[in-house]
Parts: sequence; C-alpha cells; structure tokens
Amino acid sequence: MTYGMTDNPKTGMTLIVKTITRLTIGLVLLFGIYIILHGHLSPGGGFAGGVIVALAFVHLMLAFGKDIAASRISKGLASNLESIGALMFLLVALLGFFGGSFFLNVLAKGTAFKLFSAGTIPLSNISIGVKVGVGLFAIFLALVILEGTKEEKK
Amino acid sequence: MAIYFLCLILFCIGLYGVVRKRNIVKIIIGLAIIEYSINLFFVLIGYRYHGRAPIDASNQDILNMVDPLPQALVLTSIVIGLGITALLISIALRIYERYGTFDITKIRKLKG
Amino acid sequence: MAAMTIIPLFVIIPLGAAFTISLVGKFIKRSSEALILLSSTLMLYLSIHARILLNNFADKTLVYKIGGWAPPFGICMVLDGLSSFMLITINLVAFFVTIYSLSYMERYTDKPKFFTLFSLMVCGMNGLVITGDLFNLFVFLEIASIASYALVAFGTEAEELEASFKYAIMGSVASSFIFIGIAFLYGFTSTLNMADMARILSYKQAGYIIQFVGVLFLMGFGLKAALVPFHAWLPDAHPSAPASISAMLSGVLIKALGVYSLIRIFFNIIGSTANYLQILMFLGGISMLVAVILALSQWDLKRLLAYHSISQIGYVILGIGLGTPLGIFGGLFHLFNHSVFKSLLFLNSGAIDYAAGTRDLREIWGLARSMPVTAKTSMIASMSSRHTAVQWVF
Repeated sequence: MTYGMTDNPKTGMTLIVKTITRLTIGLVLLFGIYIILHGHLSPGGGFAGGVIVALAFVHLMLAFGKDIAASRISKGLASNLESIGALMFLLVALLGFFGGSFFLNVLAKGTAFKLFSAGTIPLSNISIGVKVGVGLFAIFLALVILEGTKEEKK
Repeated sequence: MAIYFLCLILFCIGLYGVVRKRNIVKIIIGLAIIEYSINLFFVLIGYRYHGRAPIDASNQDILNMVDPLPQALVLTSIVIGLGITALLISIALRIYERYGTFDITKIRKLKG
Repeated sequence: MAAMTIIPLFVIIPLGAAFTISLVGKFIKRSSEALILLSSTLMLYLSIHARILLNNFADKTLVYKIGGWAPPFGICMVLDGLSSFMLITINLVAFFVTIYSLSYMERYTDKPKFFTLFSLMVCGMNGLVITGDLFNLFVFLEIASIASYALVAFGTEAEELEASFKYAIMGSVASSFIFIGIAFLYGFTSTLNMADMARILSYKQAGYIIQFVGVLFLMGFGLKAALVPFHAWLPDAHPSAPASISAMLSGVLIKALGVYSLIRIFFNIIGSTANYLQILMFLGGISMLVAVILALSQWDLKRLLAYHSISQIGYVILGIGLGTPLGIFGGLFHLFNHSVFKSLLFLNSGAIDYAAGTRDLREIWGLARSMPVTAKTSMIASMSSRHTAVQWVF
C-alpha cells in the first residue's frame, strides 16, 4: 500500500506523518465520494464532497512534497478534468431539454430516500464534485509551483 | 435580535480590516471575515421558533423545520467567496514578486 | 412554446464555449479563435432575433420557467423590452471586441485562457439581464465580476496587478452590500422572484426597512456602475487592462451590472418614489461634473477615457433619475451610444499603444498621418459623443 511513494527524507515531512498519510488517504477519498453520492439524502452534496476529495490530494502534497503529488495529477490533467466536469454539468442540464424544459428532472425518480432516486440530481452532484475537487487541487498546485519557480530564480 | 447585532459587529470588524490595515494579506483576511458575517446573517434570517434541521428522512415528518432556502443560497455564496479569496491570494503573490513588498503604501505606481 | 426555448441559449452558449475552449484550446491550433468567433456571431444573431420575436407577443414579455417549476418556487427568465435592448448592446460590443482581440492578444501569452474568461464574462452579463430572480441576479453578477477581476490582471505587469487588486477588493465589498440587501428583502417578503416581490411590497407596510435596503443597493450597484462617491476603482482598472478588456469593461460591464440593476431594483421591485429618483439625479449630476473636471488634467490617453466614462454614466443616471418616459428614453439611448463609441475609442487607443509604444498624450503627436484609419474612426467617435449630449437635451 505504498502507491509508489518512497521514503525520501529530504522532501516532505517526517516518517510518522508519511506512514499515517499512506494509511488514511484512501479513507479520506472514500469519505468524500460517499458525501458526493449521498447528496440528495443527507447534507453535503457536490461542493462539500468535492472539497473533501481535494483535501485528500492536498494532504498527499503536504506530506510528501509537491513532486509526488504533481506526478499523481499533473497540472494539465487537472485543468482538463475541471473543464470536463463543467461540461458534464452543462450536459446534464441540457438533458432537460429533451423533457421539455431546461434543467428538468428527466430520469426516473424512484422511491424516496433510496440511493438511486431523484432523477438527475445525483448526476449533477457528481459533476460538481469532480469539478470542485480537481479545481481546488489545481489552485493549490498553481500556487505551490509559483513558489517553487520563485525559489529557483533566486 | 441580539444575534443580528453580533453579525453586524463581525461585519464591522472585517470592514475595519479592509479599510485600515496596511498589509495585503490582512486586507484579504478582512474581506473573508466580511463574507463569513454576511453568510451567517443570511442563514440566521431563516430561523423559525423551535425548528429543527431541514433534513427529510423516511421516519420524520416535514413539520417544524427551519427555512431551508437560505441554507441553499448560502452554499452558493460560500463557493463565490472561495473563488474570490483564491483569486486575491494569487494576485497578492504576484504583487510580491513585482514590488517586493506587501505594504500597500509602497505599491503606488498608478497615480492621479 | 418553441419560441421560448431561445431564452436559456443566451446563457448556455457562452458557458459551453468557455469550457470547450479551455479543454481543446491547448490541443488543436486555432480552435479557440474559431470557437469564440462562432459563439459571438451566434449570440449577436440570437439577440437580434429575440428583439424581433418580442414584437409578436401581446404584452411584449416572454417568461421562461427553468426546469418547469412554477414561478414562486422556481427561477424564471424574463425577456422584456429593457432586457432585449441590453442584450443587443452587450452582444454587439462583445462581437466587435472578439474580432479585435483575435489579433491583439498575440502579445499576451495564453490565448485559450483569455477567451475562456471572456466568454464567462459575456455569459454572466447575458444571464444578469435575462433573469427574473433576485438571487440569480447576484450569482450572475459575481460570475461576471470575478471574470473581469481576472481579466484586468491578465498581462501580470505590475500596474495591472495593483489595479486588479484594488478593483477586486472594492468590488467584493460592494457585492457583500448587495447580498445583505437581498437578505433583508428575503426576510421581509419571503420570496425571491422579482415580480412576486413587487406585488408583495406594493401592499405590505414598509417603514424603514425599504429605505435601508434602497441605500444598500445604491451603495452596492453604485460601485459597480461607478457613480461618483464610489468611482475610485475605475481610473486604475480601465487603463491597466488590455485594450479589448478596457473596451468591454467600460462599454458594457458598468452598464449591465450597474445601471441595468439599478433600473430593475428601483423601478420594478422597490416602488420608485420621489426620494430615490432625487438621489439618483443628484449622484448623476455630481458624477458629470466631478469626473469631467478630473479628466481635464490627465495625460494618459486611457485614463482620460476612463474618467470620461464616469461622467457619461452620470448623464445616463441623470436621465433615468428624471423618471419621465422621455428622460428614461434619453438615458437609455445615451447608454447604447456610449457603449458603441467608448468601446471604439478604447480599441483605437489599443491600436495607438501597439503602434507607438506609449500612451502618454504629450508624446503622441502627428499620428494622423501614419495611422489614417484610426484617426478617422476616433474623430467619428468623439464627434458622436458631443452629438448625443446635445441631441437628447433638446
């Protein structure tokens, strides 16, 4: 369960932090996905779950240094994923056009309080979750890489 | 009534930070405090007496909830505030690169 | 029914174009220019089509319910005379600025990001003039404002960053005032739909709260429209931006965000009493005088044009504050005229800046011989500014 993360003592934090990060980062990601998917049943939804997913990657960057995190999700990939998330949201909204009105709830609304109910709302939650999660991590990555290039120039 | 006055006091603290502080980062923090206070104010407007959290579950009835609409709107507003704060911080970092200081009395190339 | 589906397209097309440009602009060469040109042309055609379409309906209003939800619960998009007029203005100026910036932005590094932000700004402005829901107006206001903060800082020179920071802080404080005003109005009327709110406010005893809300909106939208106590961001933000963004900001952004919102709030939602109109007239008059006097001492070309913008907006607010149909018509006519000629002047100043390398008026002499097209168009634009001021007074 090392995910290819080595134990280079020069970058990142101490050994204790790195070990704990390896153990908990999958759980944080899973928790974020749970909050995104259950957005129509319990508090949370796209934005809150997206922030937690972004926090998983930020945790990775803080503990291991920015090179490891940038190799997991590079800046180009983050930018593309963010646009794909936004376009998915627009597509879900346009699906309502087939039902007659913009943003209408066209998929089958099942019985209440089950996971696969409430029409297009879980799809909107998922696309917002993708966009917010990747977007926040891209912001962080851009700021950190800015710091890195400044220190190289000095 | 007292709660709304406390929100107003928080707003004034943030406004003092934006208007009187000289460091750019402190101005950004003042703006963040302003945004917290207005979001809090909007959520508190939706309070009903003896209300409970507006979550609908299969074993509870719909009576006696607080107003859920301000909570949805404040969620949008928090995201907007996040976007603005991220933009301002990246502008502040670039300003530090160009001017070498965070002091706004020394960042004065535009005059007149 | 099929006629009404044109209304959400004003928001969908720029939004889709923005994110598609962000996605494919890096991979396929020249695709970002093709996409933005396509979307601008489409928006211009749609706005003219919507204006012609509006004549067919009896009371000249089209209402579109998003998601099929009935009005007090759902968000509506309303297209009436003022909205279609503003749509034509916005999309016309955006179309010409797009054509100009296809070659002007060669100097800056990142064209796909510029067109993404530009398209988001157009989407925000279009959505703002179409919506019929007060919080939706706030959301589109923020979309357009944040895109414009990022666009002013686009070249990342020292001056642009400082100007963008000042503009962003002041714009955010103004947006928070607007948000508090919306919170008070929601607490008082328990609805967010503009038409519903107007109906409830007409029979509910208002008292002090409506005056307080009016002042809050005046402060917030007054800063977006650059009225005189709140104008301090404009002489820094407009010269420092790239020329096409200066044209967009000064041409349509302060009008769509500021003047249009003031008209909606003070004429449709809160009933326009004599007090508010007097305050509007007063602020408009002060803007006219103070900004022109400050403009006389400027040597930078774009800063001069920026101060001139403030005074022309003062003319528009004065005309609107009169309250009579002829006054409002005069104000709106001057609004359209000012959008067209001021954006033309800013684009010309960008061409001068590119050719001569400086914007200082003391150093630019005798350019009319070497740049005849720019000289002729600047002459037409300046003469048209004087013509309209004289014309609508009489």
